[in-house]
Amino acid sequence: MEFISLSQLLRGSRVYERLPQPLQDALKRSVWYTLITEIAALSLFIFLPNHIWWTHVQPGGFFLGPSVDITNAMLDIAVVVLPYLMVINLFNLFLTLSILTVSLLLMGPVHEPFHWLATANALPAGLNIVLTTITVGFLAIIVIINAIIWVIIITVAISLIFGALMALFSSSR
Amino acid sequence: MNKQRSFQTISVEAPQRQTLAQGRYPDMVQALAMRSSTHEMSLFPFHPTTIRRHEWTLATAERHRLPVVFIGCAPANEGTKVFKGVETDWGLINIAEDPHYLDQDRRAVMPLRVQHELRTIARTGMDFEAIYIAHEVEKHSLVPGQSLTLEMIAPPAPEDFTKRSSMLNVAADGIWSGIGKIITGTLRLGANALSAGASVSAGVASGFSSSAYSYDPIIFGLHIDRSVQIEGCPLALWYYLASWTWEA
Repeated sequence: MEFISLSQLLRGSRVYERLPQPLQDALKRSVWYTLITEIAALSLFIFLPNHIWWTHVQPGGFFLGPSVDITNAMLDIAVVVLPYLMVINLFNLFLTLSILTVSLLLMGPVHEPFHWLATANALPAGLNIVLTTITVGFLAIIVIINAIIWVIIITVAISLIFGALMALFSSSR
Repeated sequence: MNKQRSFQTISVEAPQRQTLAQGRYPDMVQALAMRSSTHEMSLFPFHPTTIRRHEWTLATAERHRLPVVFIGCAPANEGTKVFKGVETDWGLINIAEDPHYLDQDRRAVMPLRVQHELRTIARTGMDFEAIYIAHEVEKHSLVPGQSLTLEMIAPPAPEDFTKRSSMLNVAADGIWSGIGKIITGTLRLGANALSAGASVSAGVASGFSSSAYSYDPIIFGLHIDRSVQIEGCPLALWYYLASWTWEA
């Protein structure tokens, strides 16, 4: 019959209040979303050709009037911010992988600091998504506005040409 | 085995039990039905070393004002020993066989306060060769001959930690919901040019389930006297060391 002495018991005792707990559902989802975001952001940064980041739109092309300056200014800001964002992403990816390792792919319980870390972990990823979305969104708006202007210009031009041809055709009869 | 040995008389008075009239502890002591008077102890042929250890333990407890209370003498049982209480029942088990202790990789889980109390006891040089734990269980959930199971005694998730974890859960949910709203809002600005495919759906997760009623474990320290066996189990002197509720 095996007995455990008091000293043995205390050597391996755990504090109930600090007992590890599994991450709750929204935190688990948050960790996965963060991982996907980080991998996607870093993949784009690594695999996209380098010159794309330095691309600027030229006046006299598709972009009209002040949209050229606005687009180029946004691209300049993105190019400046991008390296810092990628460093943060890389560090955050390391934290995300640490959480996944310690929690055995979110299946096991973890100590409280990891619950806080999993929450804080979402912020850089969220910032990444928001900045990307805002940048891409505004660029898309500029492209759409330019496209609409071009559609109007082309429609007006075609109408004028068509009207002129019709007038020419009716006067020749 | 030395049952022919002359009886030893213990001259030390057992400390007052009234100091322990907290929680459901008195029911437990009553249920254990241990022999605690000095007169009854003299019926057992304890080894002189055991008696000296007992005397030292009581003297040290008194000198350091420790919550160690001598309960009585009874065999150190193997397996679960069931005791019927008034409102609840009790399962007494050697900590080395305790399902929760085994589930935690042979590590005892106790509140910080209890750990401090036990460390204070240990710092005086007091040690007990065996530790037993009494688990309070629902009435009629345990019958004699049945073993305690992990489901019966597993503590609820720590309340404060669970609250903070739920708060963080809601915060993480809020972050991603906010991101989802920013994305969809920005995309709407683009006059439906891009489809809003990045919406984040994240419901508020339910918190940990925690039992509405929490039972009280009690920890006992034993001085084992292997020279006296009763039904194959060594006779022991039992001492109350600590008790708690999991909600504490």
